[in-house]
Amino acid sequence: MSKRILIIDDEDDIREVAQLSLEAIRNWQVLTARSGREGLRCAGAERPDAILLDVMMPDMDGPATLQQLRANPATQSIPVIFLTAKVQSADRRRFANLGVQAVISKPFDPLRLAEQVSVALGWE
Amino acid sequence: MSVVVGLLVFTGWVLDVPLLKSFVPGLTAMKANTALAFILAGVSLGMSQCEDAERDPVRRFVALVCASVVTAMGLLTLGEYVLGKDFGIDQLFVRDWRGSSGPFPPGRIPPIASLNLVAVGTGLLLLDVKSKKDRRPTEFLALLVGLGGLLGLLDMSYDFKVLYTGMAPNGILTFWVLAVGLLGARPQGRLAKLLSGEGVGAVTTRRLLPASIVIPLFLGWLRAQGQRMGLFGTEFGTGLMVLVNIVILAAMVLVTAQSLDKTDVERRRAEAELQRFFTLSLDMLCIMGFDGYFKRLNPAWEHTLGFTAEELRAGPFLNLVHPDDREATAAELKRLSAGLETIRFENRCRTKDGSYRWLLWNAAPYRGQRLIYAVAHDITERKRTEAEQVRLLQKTEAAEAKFRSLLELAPDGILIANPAGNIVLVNRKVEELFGYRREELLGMAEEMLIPGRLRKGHTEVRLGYYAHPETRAMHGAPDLLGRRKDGSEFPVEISLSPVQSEGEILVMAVVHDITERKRAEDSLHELRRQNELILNSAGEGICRLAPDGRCTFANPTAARLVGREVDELVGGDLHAIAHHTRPDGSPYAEVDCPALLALKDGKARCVSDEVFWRKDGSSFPAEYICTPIRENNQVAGVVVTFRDITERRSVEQMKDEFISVVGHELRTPLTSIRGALGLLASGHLGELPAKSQRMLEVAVTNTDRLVRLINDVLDIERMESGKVSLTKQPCNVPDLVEQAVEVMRPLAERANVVLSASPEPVWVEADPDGILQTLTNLLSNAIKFSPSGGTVSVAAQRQGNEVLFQIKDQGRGIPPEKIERIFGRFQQVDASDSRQRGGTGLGLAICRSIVQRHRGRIWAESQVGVGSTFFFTLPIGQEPQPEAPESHNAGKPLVLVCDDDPSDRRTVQELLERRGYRVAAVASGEEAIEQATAQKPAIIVLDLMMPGMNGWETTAALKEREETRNIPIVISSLLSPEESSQSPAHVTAWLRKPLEEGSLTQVLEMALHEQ
Repeated sequence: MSKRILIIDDEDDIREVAQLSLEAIRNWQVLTARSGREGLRCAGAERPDAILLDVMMPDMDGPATLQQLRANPATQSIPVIFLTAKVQSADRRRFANLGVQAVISKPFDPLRLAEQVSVALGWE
Repeated sequence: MSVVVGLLVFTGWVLDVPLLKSFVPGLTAMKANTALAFILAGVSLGMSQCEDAERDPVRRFVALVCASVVTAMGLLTLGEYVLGKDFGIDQLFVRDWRGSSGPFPPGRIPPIASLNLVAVGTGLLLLDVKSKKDRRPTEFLALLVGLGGLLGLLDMSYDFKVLYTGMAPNGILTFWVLAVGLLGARPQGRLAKLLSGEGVGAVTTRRLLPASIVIPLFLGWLRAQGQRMGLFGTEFGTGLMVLVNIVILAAMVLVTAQSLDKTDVERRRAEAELQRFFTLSLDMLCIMGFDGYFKRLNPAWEHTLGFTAEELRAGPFLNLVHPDDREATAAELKRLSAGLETIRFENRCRTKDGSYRWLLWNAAPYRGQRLIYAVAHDITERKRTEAEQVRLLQKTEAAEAKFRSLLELAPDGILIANPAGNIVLVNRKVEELFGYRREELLGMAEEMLIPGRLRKGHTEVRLGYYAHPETRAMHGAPDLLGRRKDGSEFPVEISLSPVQSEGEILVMAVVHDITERKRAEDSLHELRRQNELILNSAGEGICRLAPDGRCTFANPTAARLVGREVDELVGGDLHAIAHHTRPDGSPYAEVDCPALLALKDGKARCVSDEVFWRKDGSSFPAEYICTPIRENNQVAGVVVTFRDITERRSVEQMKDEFISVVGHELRTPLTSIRGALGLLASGHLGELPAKSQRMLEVAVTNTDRLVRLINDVLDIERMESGKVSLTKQPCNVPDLVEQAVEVMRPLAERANVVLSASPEPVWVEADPDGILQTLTNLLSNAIKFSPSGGTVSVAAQRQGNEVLFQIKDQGRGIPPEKIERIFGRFQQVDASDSRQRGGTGLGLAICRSIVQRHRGRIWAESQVGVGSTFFFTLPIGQEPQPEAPESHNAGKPLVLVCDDDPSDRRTVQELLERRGYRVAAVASGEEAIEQATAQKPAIIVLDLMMPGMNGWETTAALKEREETRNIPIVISSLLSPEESSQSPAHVTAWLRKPLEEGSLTQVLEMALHEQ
């Protein structure tokens, strides 16, 4: 079943690789946003099935973006997965507590990214 | 007198002087031979005058010769009369030219006189002869001589016609003198004693004997003269003489009787007096026979020994004597029997009660009656007193010896000085201390033992002491000094005591050499000064807390750090002054203060995440150590050492941020690179030429390696800087091993390596993440270095208080010289390993760090070409003990457990069921809502991080629904409530994962109870 995924990351290359990965491997429909604000707008407009959200971003970081997503009834139920280069267990716990469904560490394996998302969101 | 008479008569014959021959003209003259015999008898008697003569042989010889001659003269003359012959001795020396006198030949000694001479001569020869009963023949012969003389006198007076004796009056007189001389020569003779003694018999004899001889003689003479003169006839004369004799003898008897009676009265009186004394005497008087039996005893015996007189008399005296004294007493009795007196003899006599009394004896024998007169004095008390005195003396001597010994062994010098300040007694220590010999010290002025400059003052001190002699320390300013013989000085401490001795007060000084103490004090002072300098210059604040928590010491840095003066800290409560509030502004209760806790339990504490507060209200991050001080096994205080770690925190923060940024910034491009390469290499973006494909695979492999390297570097850095905290808990070893094996199984399968696990069912106390990381690292290595088709085995077994893990491979092995280094950073057996095997060189360093932080050990054993085994140990853990399960859980509260992790879910379910709860388990929030609505559980245990509807969303949904609103919810999460972004207002309790059985059941019970 094709999914619509919103990727919010300030790194163009990563955004592109991730998008390519999800599209090529699972043929999912991928939306991208280069910042938290853009991501909020996109999420509100497009209502994706899930959001892959980078943690460290300028202006509005991942947690702040998540808070906004949760604050908006239109987006509050969209599952969010953090993509982060911070892989310490303390960070993982902190992120989990924020209400995200999973944390996927960078660098990720592009061939397994879609699978990780599916498992985390119970799509498999 | 005999010699004088003899000489005069002999001279009279030689010179023919008639007067000298008869002394009275007209009377019969003494014969010349008689005169010569008198001379010899007189000489003999003179030479035998005393018994001492026996000791002088010359005197004895002369006496015997003279006596023999006298006897011979008498015997020869008698022989002439008997035989009727003339031996020619009658005129041997002097011619009797007058012819015969009477019937006797001229010059011949008359027969009675001859007989008397024989008696005199024999008496002189037998002078010392005596019978056993002390009868002496000489005394008998002396009586014969006297009787012979008396016969001569009667003849001369009455003019016997029948028995003419022919004895001259001077001869008769001389014979009487000789008779007396014979008796008197041995006064101890019985007759001599009878005549010369003090007894009644002797007195009566002396009084009556002369009268009984003289009076009849005189009366007879008067009667004879009267009858011759014709004054009266024979009848009248006889009657008159008888009458006068009767009158005179009666008168003499009466006088004598009166005298005797008087004597007898006096004797009786004396005897009565003696008897009284005998009776009253406190001393024991007795008369004892030579046979050893008492004859007479005074009452003192009965009083002293308790026996009656009859009892005492019944047996021999020796029976009463102490066995030990019996031999000496018998010897003493023997001496007495031999006539020797006993003076001050002591023995012990038995009393009736069996005890013994000491007696002191004086005794004298009375051999005539074979009696012993003895006086015994009871000296038992005196003996006892003497024994007591001896004992006391011995005791005193022992005490004195002890005193001497103590004195000599005393560790301090002890000297005693008289009031003049001269030393009269010293002990060995004084000799040692001052270097003088004892002989030099005795008599020396005590001032000699102190330095010259202090002597004058000392004299005043000494005199002052006598004004108030009491035990006290001697005072000196600033210190007392002693002076040795060699002039050197040393510090002393002296205590003085007055000693009363023979009417004067002496002063005893105890001298203690305090050189070592002074040295120690100086060292201590120096040490204190140094300590003070160190403490004052220390960069850390140092405070000491007393057991009651009060600050008893603070160094200047401590005061400076908290913005106060030292005086404000000392005496105050450090916690209240500088530790009263937590970093978050909440009050810091005293009961939680690590320093005060250390005071209670004596355990050291190190804290690095708190703040200290300054006087102005500001705070600084502080690191402090609380070290208990133990004295006599009790906590005597705590030293708190603290420092301001503001700068360090800042540096650490910078470092953390740097590492974080570096980690992020490295990973970010790597993410793009790895993703791009991975997509390209996967062929999803189109087929590539084989070489290009190969290059892409190289790039992917090395990108992965770079990622691992970055992860490992960051891991080990965090670990060694203490950023990673261990969450120790009891872990089931088989579970850990199984998880590690499952993680590594894909790698093993790709390498065609068989994984084998055989852990014992034991538990360790460990952080499961860390141990899992260690196991996977070691397994990864083992797999990487195993040949295809090889086996890697992992085992765990209990060894004492530890669990030993073993990971064994069949790889190439590690050379011995490298086996120690492989746990170092970037240390690999072969430099190419990192390239060929994809290792970072940090895996074993990370393992070692993790194991060591668990207080375990890690090492490897290997044989090149055979394989390697890696070992590590962990402290044994206690398996959580479930309470006894109840027989059935029906009717028990229903618990709804919601957790997406099947392992966690199963664990909680089993745990609760063991405790008797009924459990419904679900894997998602949606299911939880559904089941909660349907089953109305008593309580819900809810995981937070779940796919789909997470814990918070589930909670919100449950609280919205009427049916489930009041069901208490217990959150089970890896997070703490503080870490949570949402308020846990709607939850009843919060449990941190991993769940502890005790906490879980306790929380559930409380929640159910509150409901």
